[in-house]
Amino acid sequence: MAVNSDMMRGMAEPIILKLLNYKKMYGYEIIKVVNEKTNNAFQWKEGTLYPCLHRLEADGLIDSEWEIADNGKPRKYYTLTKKGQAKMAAKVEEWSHFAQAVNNLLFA
Amino acid sequence: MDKLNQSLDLFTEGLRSDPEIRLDIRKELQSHLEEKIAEETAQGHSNQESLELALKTFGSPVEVADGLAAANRKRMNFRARIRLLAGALLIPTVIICALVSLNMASGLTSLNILFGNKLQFLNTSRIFTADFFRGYTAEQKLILYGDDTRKNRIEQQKAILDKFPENKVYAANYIIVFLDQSDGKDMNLIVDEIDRVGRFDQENAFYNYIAAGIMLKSACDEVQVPGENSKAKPQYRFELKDRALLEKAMRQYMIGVNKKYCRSYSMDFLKEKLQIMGDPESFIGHIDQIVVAACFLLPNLSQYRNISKYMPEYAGILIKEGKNQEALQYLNTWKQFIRHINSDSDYLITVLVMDAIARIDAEKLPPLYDKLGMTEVARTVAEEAGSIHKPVQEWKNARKQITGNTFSDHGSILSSVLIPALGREFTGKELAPSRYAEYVFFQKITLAAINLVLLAGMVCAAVAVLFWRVRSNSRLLLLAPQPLAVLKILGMGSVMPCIACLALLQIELLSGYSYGIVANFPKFIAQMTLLMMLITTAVLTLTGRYVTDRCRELGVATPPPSGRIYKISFMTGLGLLVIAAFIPLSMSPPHSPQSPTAAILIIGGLILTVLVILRIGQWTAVLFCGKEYSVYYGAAARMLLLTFALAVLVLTCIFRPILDWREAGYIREDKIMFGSTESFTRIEGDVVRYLKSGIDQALTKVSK
Repeated sequence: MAVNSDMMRGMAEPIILKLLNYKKMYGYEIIKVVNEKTNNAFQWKEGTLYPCLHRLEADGLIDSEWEIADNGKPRKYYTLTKKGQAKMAAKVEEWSHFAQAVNNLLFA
Repeated sequence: MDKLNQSLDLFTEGLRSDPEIRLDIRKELQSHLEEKIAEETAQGHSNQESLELALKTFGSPVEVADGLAAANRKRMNFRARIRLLAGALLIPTVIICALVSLNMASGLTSLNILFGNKLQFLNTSRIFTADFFRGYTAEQKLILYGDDTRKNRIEQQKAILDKFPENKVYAANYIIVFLDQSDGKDMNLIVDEIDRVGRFDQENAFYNYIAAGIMLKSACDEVQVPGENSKAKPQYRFELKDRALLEKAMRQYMIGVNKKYCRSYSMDFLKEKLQIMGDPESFIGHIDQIVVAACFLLPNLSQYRNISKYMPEYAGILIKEGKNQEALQYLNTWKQFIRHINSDSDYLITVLVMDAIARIDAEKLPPLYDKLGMTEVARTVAEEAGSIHKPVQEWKNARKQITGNTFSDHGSILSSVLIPALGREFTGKELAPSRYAEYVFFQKITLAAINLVLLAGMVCAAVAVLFWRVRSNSRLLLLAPQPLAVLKILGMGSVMPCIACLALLQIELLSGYSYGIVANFPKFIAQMTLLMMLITTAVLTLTGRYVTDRCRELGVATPPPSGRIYKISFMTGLGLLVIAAFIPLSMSPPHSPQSPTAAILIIGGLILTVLVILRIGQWTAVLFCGKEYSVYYGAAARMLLLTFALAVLVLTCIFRPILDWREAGYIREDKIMFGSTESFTRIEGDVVRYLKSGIDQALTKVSK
């Protein structure tokens, strides 16, 4: 089942930070991993990922670097900064409280 | 793929104001879409279908464009401010460097005094240098240079007396300049002016002596008598032109010898000027001091010589006329005259003139005393005048004993010009501080030359930016350099070569600094050329590499790299310069015309010159046929503008103070050349004092 895009708003940043916490990734790879892990539940418009990435970069939460991929083409890889790690932990914690609260209301 | 390009243009429409960010993001989106298209195609869709699908899942162009513009606005604004700041930095950089370079020439400014303030361009540089850096007051400037708005030097110096009308020092200075500049023309005018000014200083014989000397020059003449053969010493015959004037002159002389003292105040004025200028802390400050000292005129010396030549002749005339008592009066003044002049002898040249007068007296006076029947007195006068001459005679004899190449091998240029004539020998170690100070001075000139080359590079880069902008008819790529990348360029391009060069130059075996700069010239030229080549080419190459890498990331076309032959030739030329610069002294004998250093330097220099000419030719050719790389060349030129400017700042703000500090240290350490407030060199002041005291002792003895 596809998730409503309104619900998605505000979730993109914690998801990106969490994914980059595992390893450095490029934009298209992030989309693919999200789709794979959520079984395409998030109907992201792929183009909206980039403003999000650039905002995180401007805030110093992630860094980017061009690298030549195995296929010989350049790709821009993103990595999590220390500041990003702290932010990610806080966001995950925040989400956990939020989800708990919503669950309590909906399924109590 | 036109549709893909059109879509990418639409997605990045909001980023137009920053071409680098736009290209960077465009490239990122393109990479994403191409990968997506490739996947769709692999699943069996046609190219067109794959493109449509990829664009559909990417989202609305308007939404993406707005999102990207909003997300990057902060970054773009920041970069715009940085660009503005970088542009604003270039102008102060140019001004600072121009001032620093001009400051190097401040020694030349005083030179203008030698040319009677005729070389106005030297005054212009003075305005930007000495006055700017030292902050002289208007009064100090007047004392140092006179009023250079006035038409000639006499008037310029008279301005000082006009400002301080009863100052004896400035009065004597004005008369000396008047005497020098008028060159004896219009004698009556000069004599009247001497009379007018001399009234402020009633007990000073100086004015009477110079008035007498000027009149004697007009009243008498010396005519050369042809010798028996051309090798014989020329003889002169006295010729009287104006008896009345001769008598007037001798009356002035007699008034003078009966006065208490004789003071030209030259040394007082010199000391006052040097005090205003302050102790020299740099080599050029010392040159300034020397120039100011050298600018002191001594036209009174020729008037003293006139008196010493013609007074005996006048006494001879009086004897012939039977006026023996009057003649004796004049003859008996010789010691007082020498005493007066000796008390005013503050320069080596005045001591030597005074000595010459004593020798003339020893030769001319005894025969006149003989004619008066005073044989015993004649003998005593010959002995006494001889004893006054003795200290200088002994000093001259000692000077002849000095042999060897100490000064030419181990002295600085200045010390080998100014010291050997003083009759003292020094070891290479004693000459070291002044030698090192001179090396540091030339290092500062090299630094200024590197700055000028970088400034010239900035001008060329600015012209290239304009050229490519017009030629490509587009906004050229302006790269916002990463701070780390800039630090790397500056560190490796300017800081490291300077530190490495300064460190290696500390080792005398490698630097050759145990020899003077003249003896060590090929090595020094190799060292400085190497430094200049390293800094300019390193900054150029590292910047070029950064721009190339960045352009490749952004998908901008870059020209092919230099060929292997070019690289090998360049490294060979540079390698030869390294060898010539640091070849150990034992393998590179100084002074030798067959010096291997010179040969290696010439070969290395020729290779590098040819390569530089080729590279400049290549860049010029690119201007006419390299349009495909216009964005790259435009970006490179803009980046070079920034890195060259920062390199100039680093060199000027870090290394110039280091060199200044080292130079000041050597000058403080020196005991021979620097720090004299009364002569060209410290040691010359010592020699003058030594000779003067010897003559004083002789004069005291003969008085008894």
